[in-house]
Amino acid sequence: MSTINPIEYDDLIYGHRQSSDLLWSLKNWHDPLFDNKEQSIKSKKLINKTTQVSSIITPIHYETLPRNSEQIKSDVLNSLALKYTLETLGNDTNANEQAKSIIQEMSHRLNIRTARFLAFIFSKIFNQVYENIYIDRNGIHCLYKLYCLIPNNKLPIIPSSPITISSTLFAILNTFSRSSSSSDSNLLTTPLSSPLTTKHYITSPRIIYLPTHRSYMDFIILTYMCFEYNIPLPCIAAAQDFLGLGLLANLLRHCGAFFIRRSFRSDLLYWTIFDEYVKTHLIHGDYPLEFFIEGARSRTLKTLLPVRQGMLKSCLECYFRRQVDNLILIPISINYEKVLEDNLHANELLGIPKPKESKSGLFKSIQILKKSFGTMIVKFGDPIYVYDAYELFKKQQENKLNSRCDSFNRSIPRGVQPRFTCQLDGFNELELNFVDQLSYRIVHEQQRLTIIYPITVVAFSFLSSFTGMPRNRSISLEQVFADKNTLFIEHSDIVEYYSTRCQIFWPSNNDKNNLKQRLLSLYSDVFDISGNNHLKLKITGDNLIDAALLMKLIMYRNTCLHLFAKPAYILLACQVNSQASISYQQLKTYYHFFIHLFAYEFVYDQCPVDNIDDQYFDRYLTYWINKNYIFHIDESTFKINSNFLQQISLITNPFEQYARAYLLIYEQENNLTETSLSVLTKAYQKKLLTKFDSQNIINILASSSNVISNALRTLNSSNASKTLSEIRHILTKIFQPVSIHLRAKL
Amino acid sequence: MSTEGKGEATTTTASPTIPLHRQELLKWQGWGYRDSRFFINSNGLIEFSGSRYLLSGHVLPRLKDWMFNKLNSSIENYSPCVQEPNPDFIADPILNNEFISDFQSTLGTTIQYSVDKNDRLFHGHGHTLEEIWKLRHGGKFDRLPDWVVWPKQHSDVEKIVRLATKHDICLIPFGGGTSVTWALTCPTNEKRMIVSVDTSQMNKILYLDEKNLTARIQSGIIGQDLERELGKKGYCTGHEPDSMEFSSLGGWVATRASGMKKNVYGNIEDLVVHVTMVTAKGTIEKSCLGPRQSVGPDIHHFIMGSEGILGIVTEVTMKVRPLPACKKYGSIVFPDFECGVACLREIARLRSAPASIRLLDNEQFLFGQALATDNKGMLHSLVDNIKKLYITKIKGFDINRMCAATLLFEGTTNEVNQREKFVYDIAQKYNGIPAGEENGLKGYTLTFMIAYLRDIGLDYRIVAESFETSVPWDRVIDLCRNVKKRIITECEKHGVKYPPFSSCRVTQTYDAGACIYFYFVMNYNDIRPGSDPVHIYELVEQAAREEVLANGGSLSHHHGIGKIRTKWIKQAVSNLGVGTMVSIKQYLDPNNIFGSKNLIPESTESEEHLKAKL
Repeated sequence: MSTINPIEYDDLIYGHRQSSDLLWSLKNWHDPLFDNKEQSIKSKKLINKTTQVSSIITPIHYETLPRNSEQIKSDVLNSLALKYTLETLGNDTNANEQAKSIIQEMSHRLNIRTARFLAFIFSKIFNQVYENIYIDRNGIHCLYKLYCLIPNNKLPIIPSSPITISSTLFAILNTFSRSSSSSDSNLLTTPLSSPLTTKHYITSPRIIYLPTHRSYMDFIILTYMCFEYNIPLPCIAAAQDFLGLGLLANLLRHCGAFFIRRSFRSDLLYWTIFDEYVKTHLIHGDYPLEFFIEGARSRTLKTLLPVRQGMLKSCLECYFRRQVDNLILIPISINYEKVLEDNLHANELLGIPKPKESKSGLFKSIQILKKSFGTMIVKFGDPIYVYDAYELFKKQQENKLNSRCDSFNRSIPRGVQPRFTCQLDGFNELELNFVDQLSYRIVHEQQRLTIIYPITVVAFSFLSSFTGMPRNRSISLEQVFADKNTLFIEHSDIVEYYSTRCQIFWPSNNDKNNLKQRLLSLYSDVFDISGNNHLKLKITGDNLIDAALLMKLIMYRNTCLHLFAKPAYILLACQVNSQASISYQQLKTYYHFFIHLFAYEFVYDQCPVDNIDDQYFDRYLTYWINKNYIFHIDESTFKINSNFLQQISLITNPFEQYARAYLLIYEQENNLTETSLSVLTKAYQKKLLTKFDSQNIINILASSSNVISNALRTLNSSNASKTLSEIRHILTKIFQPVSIHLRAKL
Repeated sequence: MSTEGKGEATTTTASPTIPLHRQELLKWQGWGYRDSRFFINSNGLIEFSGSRYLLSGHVLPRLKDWMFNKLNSSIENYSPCVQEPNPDFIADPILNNEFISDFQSTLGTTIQYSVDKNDRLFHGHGHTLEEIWKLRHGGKFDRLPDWVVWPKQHSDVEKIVRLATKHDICLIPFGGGTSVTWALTCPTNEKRMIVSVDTSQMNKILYLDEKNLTARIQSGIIGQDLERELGKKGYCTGHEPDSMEFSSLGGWVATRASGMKKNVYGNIEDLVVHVTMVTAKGTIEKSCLGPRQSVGPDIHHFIMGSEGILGIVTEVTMKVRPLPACKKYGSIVFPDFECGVACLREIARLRSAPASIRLLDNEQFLFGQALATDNKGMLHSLVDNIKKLYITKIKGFDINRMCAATLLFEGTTNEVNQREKFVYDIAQKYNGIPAGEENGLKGYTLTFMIAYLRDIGLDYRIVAESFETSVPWDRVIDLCRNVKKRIITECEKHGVKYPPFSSCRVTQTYDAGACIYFYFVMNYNDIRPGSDPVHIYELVEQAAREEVLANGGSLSHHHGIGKIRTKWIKQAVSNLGVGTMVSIKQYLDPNNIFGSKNLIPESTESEEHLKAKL
């Protein structure tokens, strides 16, 4: 695994520290696709004419683009899809008004002037809070290529002269003139003279950014970056809870956030408006979209299941209907060394409720600006072209489909479906499977871009040593370095099976002092120094506070667990049987058992369907055999090599802890009659918290609302073949000695 | 080599343009008449030879620059075709001696036939790029017809088919030979003797019924002869497909052809009143000339589009119209393609389309400019320049986005004038500006030139092909954009170095949609070493067709399926649809006498079923 090389990154902070934020926020910003100057009176006339005939055919006029938010709103309100839905709803004026208020509530008001204002504020905040913001330069080059711009190898030149009144005035004037003057020497990007792009906007890329979601900052950072690099600002899908932020929500609106309800499956009117609103952006191609495929901020810092499939479906439907010729999906991984709201997350997981989004909460949070949050690294995945992905998928599925052809249960061909209506069931089976596969692929791509920060390694070391020596809560830096080597250097091969693009952020030359200083300054609430180079946890004695502390460690450890999950399952299966040998078949059964057990806990590159034969199994097994961690007894039986027990347990430890936490949860008296998962989770959590013990890491894990709900979902999803008692039985069998011990303890 | 047929010379009412041995008049390795072709003259400019067309004898000064600049070809990359077919490439015919002796004893005196290599070669192909490519390299086809016969009337065809059934001979009907779907290529695995039935001698107008305005016509007549002969009597059919110089009535029926002026006269299915077809089981026809009948599924509708797998169309009763009093061309320029499509849609909505209206996209519009003939003096070019300045400077049209529509009005003078004003008024609402009669006329002449242009392109390592589709109105713009872009991206993917020319035009308007015609031109110089240009070409074309289908376009508007598109027909008409076609074929032709293997994909279930039985 390679260490981060700052040369491959642009540092946004470095540039800004040397120059004026004000001038930067007033810099020339030029949409590479559209030339606003062209919007003459003549094309205004064109707009009216098109709206006149919009009921007949709506050609998209280059001259009318990019639309402002008002035009987008009225486009949606006047859309045939909405008209159709209103008709099906009975065409009452009430629904009409409702539609208007929905769109009012949803729509963004992206405009460059407010974006500048926010850019100014956030450049101040970022400079304060972050040491570095590294942007993956290759990713930016790739974006530039998509927009047919010439990448500039330097950071944008920001006027570094002291702010004079005249220069400020000039900059302000510049902002208010609708377009940037081309004479400006400051233009960093010049359009390539490609025969296509200069001529037709139609070839402008339809880009969808798909970042990971770990923090509120995710909303800002991409827009901030786009502003910096002069590429179109995205429209961001945000959850409606944010509307509680009042003024701030409005500011977010002005830099492109639009707000959607959490669930509206049954609300046809809302669905139509949402669907149309998303599509209109892609069809016209005037703004790229950005949404979080995980659907929510991951409190655990682990990848969540890609649940935002409704949004993805709406986007892809534009492609399936061929209203756009292709879509470009860009998975992005935003990595935080220290997550802004890690305290909140830890509390929330332990059942302390998330404070409602409010202004007062916001003011309180302002004090966090005094802290440092280390380095943020934004990495871009390779763009996924939907056309290529779908063609490939079709080819793979060809054989399967032919056998399942049922002429009495046909799906309506795309060519026959009306394109103007909002269809909830327009997707055929193939397309649905594709959406599913694609969404897993996206999160997988995001996972592949993970950055490992020192805190992850430290958390790993701490937590794995925890069960063994509960009273001694310190760990030497030597141990951290050793663990880092075991995990990420020795086993870089296995990590690279998974991804060659994971990188580790580590002080150069393994500088211990540097690392120590860094950890102490960033995580002053977690660590203390004790003795010579020993890190010590700040344990208070208060049950809940200590638990939150450990929970934070668990969270940071989570960021890298997906790298080890599958290979570790093999070791885990061997390890529990360490006395006896284990047969190939048995090993495989256990391996698949774990994959299914943790289907919601750890996200893989595909949804683990029952009885799926995992292709990586043999690969991982051979790897461990080559490493001598496992050796052959005879042809098809294996045994773990006890010489490497320490390394093995380092790797398997987290998973063992999770498995035991699951067992603990399953051992609770179950009242599975309750159907609502969230209610059920709360009930379980309450029960588990009564027996809470902050000394026991498994106990903490089992009290985490996330782990509980994942464990319960596993129960629900697995079909009748795996009932609760069965899972419990297998788990008990594997971890028997401990579970007996635990029972005694409880 | 001489013809072995001994048929007596017959007099026909029409004086046919096409001789018995087509290669005497027509190019054997390219499109059209031998005397008409583009070439680079001594001044280094492109000139069109002959005297048959408006462009004949004219120099096109801008064309060469367009070819060399836009397509990056150069004069050095000259790759001429062979002058004569390579006799070694033409395999010896498979002959069924029983059939031959039976034929010679019963029909040999009345029906002409030939085993001449050149005749066989000419009857074994159509005009797709792949076929022309093979011809230009000597004519190496895997399988050619073994015999060619020229029946003169319906009863001749009946006799031929009866003999063929008796001796298990494979028959492939041949009309004008302008197929672009591989419909005329012989199945390579056909082990029986293949006889090509050339209908070109069935070229008489049997009678003209002026009371009912219909004509009974033999199926072999070609478009230009038909119109000329009817014209002498003051009538026309009005069916003018782009290939009308060479294509035949039987071919139109067999492929569901569409004519340029269908807005006034209708497509072939609207024009046909009665069809007679000889199948392997005998003659099939209706017994009534009633204009519309409710007698179950219309048998005409499986004859039309049967592409030679069910039988040979011998005679057709067709509607005729009095010749129009007035014929007027016109043209409109639009600021962009989207405006143009919106305007066409509006015209279609008001059902006020002229006889023909075509919308060229920007690429084709610019290409049309390159086809301008030699300067006709200072004043002319001055007027041209002023026009250009007016449109680009005062009206603010972008030369790289504007496009043009060409129009053809037909009817009484009054009708034409009214319709013209109406259409121009609509156009004005969509920012269209009338651009004169001459441009319209030029646009329509271009139609007949396109196929000739491909031959000079091939001389300079440029391959070109066209394909068409029909699509609902709301998808027109998306489809045009996506397909054009797909062509470009596919070319990039397959290592084509120079950007291809990919262009489209809307050629027909209907109430519910439009017909779109695509051109795809590619310079195959410096492609990835080791790759075959024709193969790349096919891959790109396939991808483009997939894109058309994904965009909700039809598999074909008027070219047909042939063998080139059979793999999509299940997708197009559903499995049961293909099954129905198969069972009609099974009933009418159980022994596969009409074995051209068009339309129905090789691996249909019934065949699998049969194999399983065996």
